[in-house]
Amino acid sequence: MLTANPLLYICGRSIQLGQQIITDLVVNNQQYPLAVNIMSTSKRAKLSHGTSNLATKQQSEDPFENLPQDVICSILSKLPLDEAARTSTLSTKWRHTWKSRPKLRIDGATMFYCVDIPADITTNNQELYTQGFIQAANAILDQCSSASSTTAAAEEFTVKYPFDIIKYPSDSMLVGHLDNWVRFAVSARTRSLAIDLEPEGLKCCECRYSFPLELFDEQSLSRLEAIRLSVVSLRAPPPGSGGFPNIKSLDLRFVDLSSDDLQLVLSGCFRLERLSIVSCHMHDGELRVPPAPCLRYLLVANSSVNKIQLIAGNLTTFVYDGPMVPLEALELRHAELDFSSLLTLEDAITELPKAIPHAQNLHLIAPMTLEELHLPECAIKFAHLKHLELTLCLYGPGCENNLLSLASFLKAAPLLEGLYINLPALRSLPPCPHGHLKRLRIGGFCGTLGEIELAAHVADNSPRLESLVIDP
Amino acid sequence: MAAAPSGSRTRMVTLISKGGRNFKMPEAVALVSSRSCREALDYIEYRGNNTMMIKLLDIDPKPVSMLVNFCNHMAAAATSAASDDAAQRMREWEERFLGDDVDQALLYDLLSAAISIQADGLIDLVCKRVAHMIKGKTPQEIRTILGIQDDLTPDQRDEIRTDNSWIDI
Repeated sequence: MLTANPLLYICGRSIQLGQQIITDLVVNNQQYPLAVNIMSTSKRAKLSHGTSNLATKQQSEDPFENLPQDVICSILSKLPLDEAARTSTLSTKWRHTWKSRPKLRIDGATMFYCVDIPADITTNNQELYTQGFIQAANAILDQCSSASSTTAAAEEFTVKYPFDIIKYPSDSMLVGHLDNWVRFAVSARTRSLAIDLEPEGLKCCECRYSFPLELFDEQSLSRLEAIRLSVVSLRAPPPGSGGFPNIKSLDLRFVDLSSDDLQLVLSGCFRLERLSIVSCHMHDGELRVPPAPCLRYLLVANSSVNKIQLIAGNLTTFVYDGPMVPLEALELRHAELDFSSLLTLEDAITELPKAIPHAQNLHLIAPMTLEELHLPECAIKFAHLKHLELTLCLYGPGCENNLLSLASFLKAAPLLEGLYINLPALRSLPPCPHGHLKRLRIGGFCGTLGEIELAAHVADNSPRLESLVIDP
Repeated sequence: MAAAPSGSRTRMVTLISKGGRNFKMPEAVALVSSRSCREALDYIEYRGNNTMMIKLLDIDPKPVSMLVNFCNHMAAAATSAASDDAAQRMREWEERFLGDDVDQALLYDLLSAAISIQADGLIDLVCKRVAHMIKGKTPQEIRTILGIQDDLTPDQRDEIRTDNSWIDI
């Protein structure tokens, strides 16, 4: 049976078990009466400062009946939403417990177990689908708002549904409801809010849901610790409103935010630890990350920035996917830079050390040409670089012959301890087995990539091969 | 909390089960695993060489010893480096820990013991197991598994059905 309470015997008097007194504990000349009565299940033992939150329960036949509410909530939170909701029919005690769901996720894709989804979604069917989703979401949130305010509110609230007004004009009916659902999040004291309206395979979008900043007051804004938005448009909070002072994680995808607005938003985020900006086209925009003492992780991808300036002393990881842009990140220590357009060796050796002079750990991914043997000199070196990983997509004439140029990284990084070079895999042709070839000889072999590819192809496709001679 | 005098012996926390069996764990482990211990030690300024003892006299020795085992293991795992391998090993250990020989009564006692000292890690693990036990089952099956009495009136049942029209109840 669930025991009434644990008892902390700090003073070590253990009468019931007849054990030795350990020592008396005296704090501020007072002995603390922490233990009340262990054998009785009818009293509650308390620490005078913290309390154990178990109430005394009747002994009963049904042990799981006696579990504390928060433990039952924990069990239900590990079930999908619809299964948790079904437990409302188990008994009167279980009727409302599922509603205190700390992580509440309203996901269009998982909410339709009992609705027949037509195989081909024509515009009309999509409207039905969306209507069904709205009804279900409203029914769930009605139930969850009626839960007592002392139980766990929806600390984490996620809404996920594809929103594409251009393709399905009926999606516009979602907007008013989304506003209501954000209102629910505000009243449920949500700390982590995610609005994910991204349809699958989205490349660019024209119409977004406008984030209803006006529904938040200063208190609810300061309660937010994580925001994740996709296909949403966000304005900076009005000046003087305090912004998002406690936000730790900001994830933006397909959000249209001008670089000025973004800077305004970020300047109020003193606790920001993680920032992710993906596919937020800030045309001709500079990304200036204001001093963010807590920022540890920054991801910028596919966002058409033309300059990046970071002042983030504790930033440890910067993942960048895009064209080579003027970059200034003086304090950065770990970086994974994935340049989608050509990076010359010259730039890599001369410009990058200026951009990230304190880098200790760098993974550089970029397409590169090496047309001649060239060892760029640089005045400013990677003075602290200990580990360098190069994943270079080499192309253009003669690049294999000029791999030696990569040695300039050694000169640019005098303290380098580890160098990993990932060269592109061998190209291959489709299999074309040759049933007769028995002997292959390659003379004048220098070990170039092309020679190896040819030899490998022939060997793979010649089941009768008896002799393969490579003659330098 | 005042710094304890540096002694050569590790301070232990003792859990006492039904029948007076003692199970010990180092204080450092208890601090990491049990919220009750943290609160208590926060509150007490100076303890000298006192041992903290926690009585769980209604609980059998086996669940209490499993609780201590769990706390020791979690504390050791927390100090070693995090990696995918380590996470996988932890999952495997957890599966063996709540293996086939752990029947429902033992599971329940283990949960009681964990709740008593607010050992959040173990509470979470057992909750996961219980959720797994009831997942995909009909309400009647769940009532049988958890020993719940159905005390809803037909009217209440109808209300619940209307309120939750989005699922089949």
